[in-house]
Amino acid sequence: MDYWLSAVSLVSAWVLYVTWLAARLRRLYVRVDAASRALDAALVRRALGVAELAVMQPVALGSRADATELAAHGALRALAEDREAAESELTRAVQDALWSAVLQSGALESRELESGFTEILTQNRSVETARALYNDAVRDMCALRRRWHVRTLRLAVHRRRPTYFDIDATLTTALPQPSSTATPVAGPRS
Amino acid sequence: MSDSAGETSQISGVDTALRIGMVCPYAFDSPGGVQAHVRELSEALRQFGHHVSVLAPVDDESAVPEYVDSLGRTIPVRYNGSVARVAFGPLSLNRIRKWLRNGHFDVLHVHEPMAPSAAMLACLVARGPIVATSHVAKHRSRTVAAAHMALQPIFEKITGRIAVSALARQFQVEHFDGGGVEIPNGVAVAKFSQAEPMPGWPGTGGSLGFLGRFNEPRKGFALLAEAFIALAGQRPELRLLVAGPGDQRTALAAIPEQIRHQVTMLGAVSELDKARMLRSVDIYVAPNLGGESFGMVLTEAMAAGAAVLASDLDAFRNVLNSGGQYGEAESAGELFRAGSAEDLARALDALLRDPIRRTVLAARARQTVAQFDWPIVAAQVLEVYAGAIAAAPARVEPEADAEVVAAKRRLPAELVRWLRA
Repeated sequence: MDYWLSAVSLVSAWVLYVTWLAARLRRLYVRVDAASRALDAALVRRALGVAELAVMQPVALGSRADATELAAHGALRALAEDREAAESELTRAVQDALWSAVLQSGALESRELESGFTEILTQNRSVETARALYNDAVRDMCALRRRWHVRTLRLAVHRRRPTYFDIDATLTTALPQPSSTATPVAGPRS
Repeated sequence: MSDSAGETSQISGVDTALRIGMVCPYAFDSPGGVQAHVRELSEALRQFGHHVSVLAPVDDESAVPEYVDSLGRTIPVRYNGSVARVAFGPLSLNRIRKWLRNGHFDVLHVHEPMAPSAAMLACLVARGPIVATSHVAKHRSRTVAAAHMALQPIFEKITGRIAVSALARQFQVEHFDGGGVEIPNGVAVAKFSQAEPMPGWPGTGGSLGFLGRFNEPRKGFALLAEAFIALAGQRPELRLLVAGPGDQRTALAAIPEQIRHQVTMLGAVSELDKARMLRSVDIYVAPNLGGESFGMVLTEAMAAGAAVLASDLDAFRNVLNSGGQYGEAESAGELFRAGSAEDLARALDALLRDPIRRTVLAARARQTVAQFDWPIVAAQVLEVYAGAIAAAPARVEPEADAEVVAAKRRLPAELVRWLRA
């Protein structure tokens, strides 16, 4: 009798644990999905903003206006597998335009200059935030998927494994330092 | 003020007023970095027109502002190298549920959720967009490493993670593999820049300042004392102003009798007196040997308009170099080799001889510290709120019985799907 009792309670504890794991998995999928949509929206807003700046205020972008506009359209058109490369390309194009504008206007007027870029810088910051939030969600998801129970019971088998979104998204008004080896834009900040 | 607030709320991209629920883990009416952070962030957010409700343990209800909801009295718990006063237990849990249910928050912001506290409980029972700020200033914690598996379910409920420094971010990366966004600690610039210097200070003979626990070796007071002794011999007018809690007699014992009158000890000071003290010195010295995460006191000295001389720790270097476009060449303070009293004395001597250099440094410091002003920092936090709300489109609610009912209803379907797979 005692034997059965303990066996039953063990099994039910185990069932509860697995149910709890499944609930956590489901919650994380919801989180990854929503974060992914938010990231997509932020990226589209940024690309549209850059395209608009290139058309409406080409002066702000100077000689880089065409290249920047091209990169913006490239980012908007990119398919899922090319998206990271296209978005990184857009960041680099905007960064180049920003640096050349900073150099042209000189450090003194940099505050005024930023105003042409204010909206882009804001949109870029929300891209950075959305990317960090999304990648954190993916990381939590992957950690849970690696768990023994989740793998052996194949709790997550009917859902696609989420992938990190790895892009350069850091814009800075600070000029790269000649002495340092790394430029601020090089290398993704995970 | 209202002008700059309008400007920053435009930057923040949040047009509508948010309902923000904020959980402070430590007793709100006791002194501490996290409490000050929560108070000043809440006030900055309220100035933007958002609704903020803070839930915190409170020992003396008459001592807190009206936007604070009390979680009751506290118990002492050891965490992060010191004793923290927290509220933890089933009673707190119930109160948190009730607060969440009545608050109708758009976003829940918890502080230090990995310590056993109300913040952790709130994470546990809430669902919806949750933002968490990590304040810890150390590398690894054995307790957290051991409890990793148990803490992960709490950690994974957080939608947006904020770390106040690179070190705090590192802590999250090492323990939970998830870093989040780095947003610096804010400083109430106006409070420091407008404080009245103490009568008779800074004077004409040069005055140096030190703030902190001077008995603690890693704060480096011994180094400053040594450099001060070397300098005071030739400069009878040079004065040293020291504020902070600790045993003054042992600290003074290192200083020879004949120059002891050049040292003024203030003891532990209030926030207002701290601002006045920092306004009263020509040069603020931060001789710390290590273990600093952000260098809050540097930003405060910079806001007060003192020339800053700090040891060359990464944390200090980052704060001082973060303003200009050219990095080091435009540093808002000077650095000396950490741990070297000779280098400190040499740097101090050079700065004392050069009032123009001090003025330049103070001007740059004012410029650099502007980015740490609370309205700017709060706008960055609002961006994370916006991101978290976009990434978890739901109201904050207590995760009550509804979850269980829904899970039961879904269970047969899940079983079928699992059998098919």
